[in-house]
Amino acid sequence: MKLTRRSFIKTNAIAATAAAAGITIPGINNAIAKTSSKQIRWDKAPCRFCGTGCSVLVGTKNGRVIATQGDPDSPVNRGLNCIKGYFLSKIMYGKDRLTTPLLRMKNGEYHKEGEFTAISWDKAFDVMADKFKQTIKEKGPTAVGMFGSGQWTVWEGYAASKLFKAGFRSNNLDPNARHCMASAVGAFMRGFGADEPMGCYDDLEHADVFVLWGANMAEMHPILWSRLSDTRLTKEGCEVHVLSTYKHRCFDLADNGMVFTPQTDLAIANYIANYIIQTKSYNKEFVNKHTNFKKTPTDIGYGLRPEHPLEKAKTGSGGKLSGISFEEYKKSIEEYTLEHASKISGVPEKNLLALAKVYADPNKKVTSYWTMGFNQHTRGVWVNGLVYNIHLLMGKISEPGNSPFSLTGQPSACGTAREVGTFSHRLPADLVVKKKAHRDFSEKVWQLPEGTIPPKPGYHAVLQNRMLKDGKLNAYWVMCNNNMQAAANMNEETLPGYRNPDNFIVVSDPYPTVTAEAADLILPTAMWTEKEGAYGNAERRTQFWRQQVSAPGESKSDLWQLVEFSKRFKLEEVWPKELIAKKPEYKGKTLFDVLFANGQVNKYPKQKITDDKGNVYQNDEMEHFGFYLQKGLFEEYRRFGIEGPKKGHDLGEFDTYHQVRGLRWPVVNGKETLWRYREGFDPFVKKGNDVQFYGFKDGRANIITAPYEAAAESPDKEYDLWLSTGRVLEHWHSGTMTRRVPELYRAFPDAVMFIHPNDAKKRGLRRGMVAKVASRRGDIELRVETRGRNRPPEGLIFVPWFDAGRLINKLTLDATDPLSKETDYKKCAVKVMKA
Amino acid sequence: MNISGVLVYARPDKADSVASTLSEFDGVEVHASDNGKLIVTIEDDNTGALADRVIQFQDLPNILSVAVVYHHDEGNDDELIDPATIPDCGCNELNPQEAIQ
Repeated sequence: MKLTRRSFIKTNAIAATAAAAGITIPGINNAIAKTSSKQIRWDKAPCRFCGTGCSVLVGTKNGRVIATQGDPDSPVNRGLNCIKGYFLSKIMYGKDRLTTPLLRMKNGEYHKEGEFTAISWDKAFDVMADKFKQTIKEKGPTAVGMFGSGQWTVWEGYAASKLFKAGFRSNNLDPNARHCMASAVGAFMRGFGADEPMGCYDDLEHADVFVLWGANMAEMHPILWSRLSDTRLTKEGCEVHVLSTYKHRCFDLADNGMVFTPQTDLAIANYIANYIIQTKSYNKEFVNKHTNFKKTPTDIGYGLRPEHPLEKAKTGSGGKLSGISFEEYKKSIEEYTLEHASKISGVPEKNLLALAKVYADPNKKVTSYWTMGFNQHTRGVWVNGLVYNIHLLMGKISEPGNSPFSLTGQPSACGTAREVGTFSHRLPADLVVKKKAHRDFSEKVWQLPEGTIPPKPGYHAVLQNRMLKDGKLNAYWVMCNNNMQAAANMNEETLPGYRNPDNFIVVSDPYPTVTAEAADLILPTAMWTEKEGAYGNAERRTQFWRQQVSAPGESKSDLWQLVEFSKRFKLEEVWPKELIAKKPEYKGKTLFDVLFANGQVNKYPKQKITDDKGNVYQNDEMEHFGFYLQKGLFEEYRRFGIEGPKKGHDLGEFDTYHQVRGLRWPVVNGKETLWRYREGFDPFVKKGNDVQFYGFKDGRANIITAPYEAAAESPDKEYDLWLSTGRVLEHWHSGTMTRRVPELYRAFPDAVMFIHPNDAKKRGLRRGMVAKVASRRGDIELRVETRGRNRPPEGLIFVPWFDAGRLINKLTLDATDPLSKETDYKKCAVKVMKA
Repeated sequence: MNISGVLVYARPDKADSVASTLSEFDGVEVHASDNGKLIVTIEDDNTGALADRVIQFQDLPNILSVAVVYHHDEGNDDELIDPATIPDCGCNELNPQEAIQ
């Protein structure tokens, strides 16, 4: 009997896997019996990890999430799940979940050097509100700030934006997405006047050629990599080109693998554009009709502190574009010949030529992918733009298979950080604080008096840490990220900033992270399906989920924390009299009254939440506040996309998203958009226009010339190796979640140093030995790894940053792209020696 | 009884050797191979086996990608992740404060 049952289940396993692979196996019926569901309630949710946005089915029983599996109805992952996604059910159940607020106390009082002591939420908010009020009173709104997240739900980012930009009137709100996506945003805005990709994941099946520029998709986006592998293995003539500063797993599939010297991607991209022009392969009609040529200031420094010698030496600044002719553009890239590009990059000429030829072939559809190799780059905006240049010259853009595509690292870097605009210079739907018309529109939607939102951009991520250290930012809230571990140059900037006696640091997190331990007040936080949520993935897909379970102990969602905290502030405590006088009816009200009980956000009454099977779900925020908070926030936010000054950001109705597997915006009349800017796909393109880059008034995209410039810090005699940092498949970001899953922890317990065997040998090191790695800023000890998945060339080491016990960001340099303010985590100089 | 369906992408020219390597693992069977795509099941009575196998597979040569498609855990849904059954991985004992100093 048991054997029969076993073979039945095995048949199901084979059938499901074959169906996902698109393979027919004789004798196996593809109609799969449902997995046994003994009182397990299954409901969809987007994955908590990377920016791919896979949908998983969440199995809940007796108030606990007990299993997750790939969602067969999801257009993103089609039933597939990576190993991290498979273990999602375990991320909420680490033994050390925080369950009560913890305040550093001595003798019953808050004390910066005190011991963490359990307190009530009431007491926590009392102390915290006092610190914020006192700071605003003494130093003004620029002395308070918040560091948020691309892992926030859409409405959490939106509530934070309202609370800080309108409530506290401080633009010192920046997300950790500054560390990962800011350069991508900068290039989209400069090139197209609108953020986020024109293409979508469907390009994975439409393209003939894939080019990876600084993306290790096999480990960082495994499900997209499965789809790409499938196309490569099944499509006649399909090619994969991989560029990286070290060999990684993607090279196993590569037809043309290229290891280049760090920073020379700028020269390689310019060579390809030069090749296209020299061979007259470019699409003249497309270029004439749809593009403008521009140049950008050069020698613009490295975003270091102003007193740094590199900043003093720079001769240019900023990113103000000026128009040039095609001839001038052509001349500007003439020096990037095959010989020159090969010499500077170290990539053999034949490989570069093969790459140039596929881009220049009008009959090959090319999709380019990149992630942190491009974005975490002191010329990140430039290098993103140089790949757009190639696609624009060929007209290979905004159509199936022809797609320059910026991949995302966080589940809602797009949906929350970028679309809601939680950056220090942004407002929702691509609006910016600097433009009066954009502030006016935001104030109108938010029912606020004119002049509420300050016009000056606030402190961005790296500047926040510097201002904490310098004592200019004093009341600071870190939510849904682990920035002590994530930010560069921890020893010289982040740690002294957090522990500066002038500052009060609050950290909201489900677990005691390195950041939480460095805080003064820790707030225990509900995570993922312990609340209702919405994320937006890299292909503009907005996905919702329902609350599945309760959070442990006193944990509360970020949304609850933001909105509840707003009740602590009377308008008179945070706004000047003159501003209140413009709206006398707001006198005596709280920030909660003005921002959240404004007739819009509290418009939707409490309701029963059910799915199509009749299952009933809880919503703790609705229960507490007495109205459907998430719906009210989303519907108010949606007005920015529909009525705002920047078109093409339309989202669908709140209720729709609970029924579908996500929709890609712009969503018009309930219909999603797969390829933007192309007639027939994008409803915002005027009839007869064929292609229209409507982010700019003239409907044209910018081809922006930019040269190769050296990295901020390169190896020298003493610090003779490049250090590149990043992730591994098993862990996500700082490991807060994945290191609490025993199987994932066991699979990759500690960070190691991937190093070339010759470099190890020269230093008397062998595989498995502990070595010291040091930069000018700090040192740590790591085990030597000369084999395995990552194989650096001589002269470079790779170290992942997930390990709280081996903090590689003690060594990294806080040099940024001066345009995007994003840190270059891929390049600094280190030395390695016996420990 | 714990049965999983896993999709493995191998280099097509090496698919046969990958399939025979995989088959050497306890409880692993390869049911079909098409253009480098291998339909694999993993059977075990121990709930941790699937994870260990999948993680091992990713590190094998000529394997491009591994994805979990199907998982069946007969009769012990609760035990699947009952916290009492999670072995202590040592990760909870990390002292971040020490790491900072």
